[in-house]
Amino acid sequence: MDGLMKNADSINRQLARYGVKFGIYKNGQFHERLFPFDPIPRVIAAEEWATLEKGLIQRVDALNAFLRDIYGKRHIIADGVIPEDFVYLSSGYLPQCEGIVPPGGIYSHISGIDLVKGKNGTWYILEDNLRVPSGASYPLIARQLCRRCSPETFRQNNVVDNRNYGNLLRETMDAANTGGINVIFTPGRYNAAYFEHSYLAERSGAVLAESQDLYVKNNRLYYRSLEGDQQVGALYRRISDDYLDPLCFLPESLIGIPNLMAVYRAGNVAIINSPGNGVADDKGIYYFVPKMIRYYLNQEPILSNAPTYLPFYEEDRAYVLEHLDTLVIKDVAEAGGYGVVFGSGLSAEKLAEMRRTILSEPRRFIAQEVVDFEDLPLLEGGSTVLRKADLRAFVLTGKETRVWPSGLTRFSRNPDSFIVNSSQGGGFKDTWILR
Amino acid sequence: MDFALSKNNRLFWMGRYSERVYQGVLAVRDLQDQNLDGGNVDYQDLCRRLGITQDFSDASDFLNRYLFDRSLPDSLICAADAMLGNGMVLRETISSTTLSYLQMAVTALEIASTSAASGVELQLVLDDIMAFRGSCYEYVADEATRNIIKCGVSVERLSIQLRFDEQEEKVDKELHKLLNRLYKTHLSCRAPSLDLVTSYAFQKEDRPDRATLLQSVESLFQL
Repeated sequence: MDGLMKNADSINRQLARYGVKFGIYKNGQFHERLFPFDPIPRVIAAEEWATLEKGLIQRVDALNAFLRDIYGKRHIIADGVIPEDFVYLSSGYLPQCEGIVPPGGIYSHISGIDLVKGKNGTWYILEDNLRVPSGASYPLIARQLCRRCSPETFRQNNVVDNRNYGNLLRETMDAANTGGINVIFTPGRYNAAYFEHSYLAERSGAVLAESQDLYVKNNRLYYRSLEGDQQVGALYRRISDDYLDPLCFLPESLIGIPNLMAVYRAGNVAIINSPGNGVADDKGIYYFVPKMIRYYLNQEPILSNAPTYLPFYEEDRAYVLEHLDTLVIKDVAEAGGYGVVFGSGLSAEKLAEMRRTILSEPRRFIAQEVVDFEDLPLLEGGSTVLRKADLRAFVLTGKETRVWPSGLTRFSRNPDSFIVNSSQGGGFKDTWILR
Repeated sequence: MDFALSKNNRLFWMGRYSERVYQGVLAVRDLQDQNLDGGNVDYQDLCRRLGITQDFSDASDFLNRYLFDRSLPDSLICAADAMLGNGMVLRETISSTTLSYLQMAVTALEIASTSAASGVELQLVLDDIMAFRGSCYEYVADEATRNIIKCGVSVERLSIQLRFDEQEEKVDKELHKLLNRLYKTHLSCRAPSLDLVTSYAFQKEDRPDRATLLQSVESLFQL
């Protein structure tokens, strides 16, 4: 790693040169800044990765089976494995998607699964992201630039090449494509992840389009081109469900495509990822994923969830209320590190208030044991310090389910924090998988 | 060609802003040099020609703010931001490599704003814009796309030449370049503007006046 650490400045200059940025809105204003990068990678040994890979494929296959079931015949509810409250009261459940079977029966084509490694060496799944998971572009370009700045490091270490993500993405889009071009649909220049949208379009050879570039005619989706409009066969949308089609979801959406859902329902375009996936990555449904694996795949889960309690269940509620000061409470409707409260950080008064809220809205929260996850070294002011870090693994499902041999390692820059989200000041590292 | 109509607009303006920055930096660098010896820089005339309505305390104030003041909409740094902003939404068309030169030009301009010898960094701005153009030639496979960028460059260059009463030969040369490029772009033009530009380019006598030509050049494309 010495080579990378010595060349940290030149790597950062390269990242600036290529505009590796993300945007945040603060006080209603858009600010774009460089995504802080730490040159010391997370390193995962081949054997450890092999287990992770199997577990991730298993999990995503089960989640896809759940989505097929829940927007279809709902056997899992009828069989009493998951209470219907956790499906129908989830804000991610979209009745507009009932009965729709997407091309190939795949709902989550690109899944971002967040994991942490406990100090005991066990990997825990923290969260599934099946809507619009972002972040693959950052380690992708960082690897390219690290190799340029410190080639010797890569000569000396046997690292699996991760620069095939553009091809994997293209194959995933091609597998779902119903006939036509592949398009990455961005809300526009002032989206937090715009760098990623444009970079992935370049790497995958897809066309980058905004809503005004796309329209529906005769129940098909078209891309406006100067030399004649082109049909779109696969739409990798980087826009949330609510804004996708103003005629189906939020009518005030100006960034969606009117009638897109009708085209999708007719099977004339693949939407990547499918609308309605939020029901499967809801923090409440997370608790049930191991049960889904057993139910749909008839297998034991390879990867563990963090120990989780659902205040919805009386027994869990009693435990949560009693141990609130040692648990982490998550609001199921929130994302991006928001709505996460550590009981240990609350005053007696706030704890009492939280207890009352949980009692009045038990479905709204999950509670988890605080996983004492591994600290990773990072370079700060010329020396190394230890900080909390997670890993977002990217699982792509096309003709088959594959895991990208890399991932986005996000770290907290605050020594006292477990929150690693970029929107809250976190940075990122490359993730090396050794051969 | 494989892009939506709004992209034509961005390609055109990316080219146009790149030329605005390029010509602006060249001009300001010369003016800074004149100003060193207390030379008489008629910044009010410059403002009039460029349509800048703000007040400046003196030539130094104008030169500094025209280069670096992001609160001045006509400043070169705002033009550079617009150049990069258009480029950012064209990454998959022009490539990350090409886009990086625009990013470097903006960074060089920002560094120049804090430098005691800004001329050195300003040279890098010019170098980066030239590298951007070379990279477009190398990485943008589609000829029409390249020509839309070049049309943006030509329109801006003509606009500056006409505003600053440049020699007839220079204007003629740029007009012919523009007309050669225009037909390779598939862009729609406004017929009266195209007629006027064409007749100006091909007739040596009874030419329309320059103000009318400027107006026609500015309104030539329907984007």
